[in-house]
Amino acid sequence: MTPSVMAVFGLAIGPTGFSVLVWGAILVVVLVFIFIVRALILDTQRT
Amino acid sequence: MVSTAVALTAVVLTVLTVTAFGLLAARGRVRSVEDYISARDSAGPGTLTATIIASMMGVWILFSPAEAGAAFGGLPAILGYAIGSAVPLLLFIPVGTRIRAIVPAGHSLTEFAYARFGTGMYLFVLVVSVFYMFIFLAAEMTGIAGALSLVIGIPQWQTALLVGGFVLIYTAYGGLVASIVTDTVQTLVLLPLLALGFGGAVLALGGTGEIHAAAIATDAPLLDPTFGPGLKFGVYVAFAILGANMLNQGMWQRVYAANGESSLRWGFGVAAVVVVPMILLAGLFGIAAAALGLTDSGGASIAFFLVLESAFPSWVTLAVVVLAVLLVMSSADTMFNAIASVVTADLARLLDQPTQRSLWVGGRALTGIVGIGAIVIGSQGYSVLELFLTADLLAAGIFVPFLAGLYSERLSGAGAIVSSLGGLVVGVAYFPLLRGPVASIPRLGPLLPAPEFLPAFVGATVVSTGGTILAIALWDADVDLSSVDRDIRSLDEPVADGGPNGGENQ
Repeated sequence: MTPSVMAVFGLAIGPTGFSVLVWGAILVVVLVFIFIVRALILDTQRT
Repeated sequence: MVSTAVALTAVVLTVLTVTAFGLLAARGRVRSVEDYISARDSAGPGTLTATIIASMMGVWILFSPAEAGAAFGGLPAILGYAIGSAVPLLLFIPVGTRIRAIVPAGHSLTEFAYARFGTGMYLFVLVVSVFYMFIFLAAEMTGIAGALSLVIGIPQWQTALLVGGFVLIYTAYGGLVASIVTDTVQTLVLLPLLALGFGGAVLALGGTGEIHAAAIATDAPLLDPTFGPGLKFGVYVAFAILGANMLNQGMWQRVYAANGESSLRWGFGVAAVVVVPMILLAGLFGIAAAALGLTDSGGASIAFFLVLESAFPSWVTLAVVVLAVLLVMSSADTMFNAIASVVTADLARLLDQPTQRSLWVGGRALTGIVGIGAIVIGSQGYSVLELFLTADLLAAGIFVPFLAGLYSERLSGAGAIVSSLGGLVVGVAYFPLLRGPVASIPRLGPLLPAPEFLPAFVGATVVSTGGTILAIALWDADVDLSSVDRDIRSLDEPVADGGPNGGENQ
């Protein structure tokens, strides 16, 4: 692979950004899980 | 590493549990062919979100995003994949609302294509849609068979038969009702498993700092969001996914399954939100594999599993095995029923006064045929990537004219076909995978542009869009959209649950 201009100038995503990306993604998955469980409970109560 | 016996036991238990859920859930709830293929107005926001996530997220997320991260351009390639997967789901919010308004009694996208455009466009949409869905299904079977063979050494034909066979049992019995209920259960297990499995894997690899440092040291552009080749891949894969998903009957079925517009908005909207991190996380394993030097001698397509083999504790491996089985079952049941529903809805129109029995038998027989075909292909270990991309290209060329029919009264069937053909001509001219046969046409070879995926997919979509706008501007077909569904009949005369006998008196 040839490095892009941004990478040459050191603008690739940093360690903090990478960590936020990974753990943030996991957090979103957990939050959506909670949303679904809550919505399913509400669905059941409505019926 | 987990022993084959333990892993096989986990696979069998997973398959049996999901099948039991499917059979029990469908018992007493499938009263007609209508229930079998549409489950109309039955799913609230929670159920709909769960079934959309489960349907879309197949075992492919353990292969393709990681391969994109390792071999096609790192982070921007993965982001393109993730955003490209979310866009069609977001698009289904306005399009789905429109579908429900224009064809409230409809069942399938081909039914709409026939009613709105006539035979030509119907055949076009039928071929592309069924081709795409069958390839998706075969790829899922191939993926799970290859994954379990790699990770725990189960022969491919045994996995394909076990997983495909049990999905076939509950889908053939319970149709879309069973598919939606099992999807819900699968998503409730799948999401925490994904969070735990990926979180555990990151920690097993030494944390995000270690992975980042290794990636920067090995190949810094992997983490550069502006890396050119990655951006190119990200853009074309987004176009490829968009077209194919808009012609995915599984999604059309779920538009009708929503119990109102609010559920439709929440279901597709939240599913769009969660597919981004799911694909991102899966893709980051490709970056990790490349950073650790695991893909140096090839094998980018199994990058995720290379990382799995090299560094993970056995509980993570076991979690991933169960995750993979759930992923494939949840999307395979959707595709089994989606393909069967397309043809069953068409049978209702093609046959002269069909009975519930004939439709019922037809629907189940087709589910069986599709399932057996997918199992056989899945056990062979073929590479289906080229077929997948070809199906995506065809879809990219026709989805805009097709969907324009929901909004424009001026667009004619001929206009839609010509626009689609225009898009396909441009797409095929650039498409690297069809270069051989196309270039062999006398005098055509020297005229062809350099083969490249980006202009192929973008060109197919843009040209067909331009053609559609032109057709709408130049001709007025004067179609009455309010009467498009006049010939679409409901299939809800009751039949005996679980069998065709109740329909004999129809």
